[in-house]
Amino acid sequence: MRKAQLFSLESILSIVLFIIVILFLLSFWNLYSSRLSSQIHSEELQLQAAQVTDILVSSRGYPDAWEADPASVVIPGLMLNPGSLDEQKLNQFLALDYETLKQLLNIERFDIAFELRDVSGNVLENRGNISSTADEAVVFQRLMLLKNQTRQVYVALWE
Amino acid sequence: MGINFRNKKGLAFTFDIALGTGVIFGMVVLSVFLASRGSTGHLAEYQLSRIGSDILTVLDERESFDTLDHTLIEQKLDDVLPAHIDMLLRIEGSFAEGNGTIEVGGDLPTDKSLIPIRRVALTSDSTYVKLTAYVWLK
Repeated sequence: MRKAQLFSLESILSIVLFIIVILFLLSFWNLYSSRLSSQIHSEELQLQAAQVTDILVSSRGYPDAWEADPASVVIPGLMLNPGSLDEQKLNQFLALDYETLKQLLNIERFDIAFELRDVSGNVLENRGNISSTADEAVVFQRLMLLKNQTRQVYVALWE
Repeated sequence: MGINFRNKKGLAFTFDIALGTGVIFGMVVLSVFLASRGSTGHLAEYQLSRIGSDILTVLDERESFDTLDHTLIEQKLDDVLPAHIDMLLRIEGSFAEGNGTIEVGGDLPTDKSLIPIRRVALTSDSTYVKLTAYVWLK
């Protein structure tokens, strides 16, 4: 009789302990998996922003002279020479339809804003504005020459 | 004797489980910690290196290194530096000015992360210069 009672108490205790450990592990796993998924999302956003900025300022685009026929554009690069922006390409880029632009840059899931500023930070040209309701936006900055004047290029991406 | 033996075995088994659970739990915590720590700050460092590289390109395109004039290079560097970034630029080569080494820009901080950028340029009188820039956030 005593033996059976002892066994019963032990089993109840071990089941309770087991449930506590499982609950603890589940909540711990849940916390870290949500942290990891938000970090993966954030890194994807950063990578996309870096790649989009690189495409815009470090390539002439495709076709090479796409600014002559904006309807034929496949990749909207803005570079004239390394370190310099092409004014014509820039003007055509700013005139592109927003949805078409996202499609060309393969960022349909995100929203994009583009700004050109002088060295003092005054906005000279812009395309789109960063949403104030966005949970997270990544802004990438580059320095370029436009007509021999130093310009700051800002590209912002958010979901 | 038999009962004592069984009890000891049971105790050893419990220690095994506790040890095994502890090791696995520790490994999970460590892997999550390393996975989350591994990528912090990558974007900031990449941005700094791109901006530093852009500054050198802009200075080179504006022929800032042709004169090898310390004051002029300093002035042109100040013109292009964004407000939140500082830079030390070292120009080395076979030229008379400064015994072949010119340094312009801010003083290297000891408490901030520095991003080094190296490049080679050719001045208008065909002098090769080695450019080493260190950029950091102010």
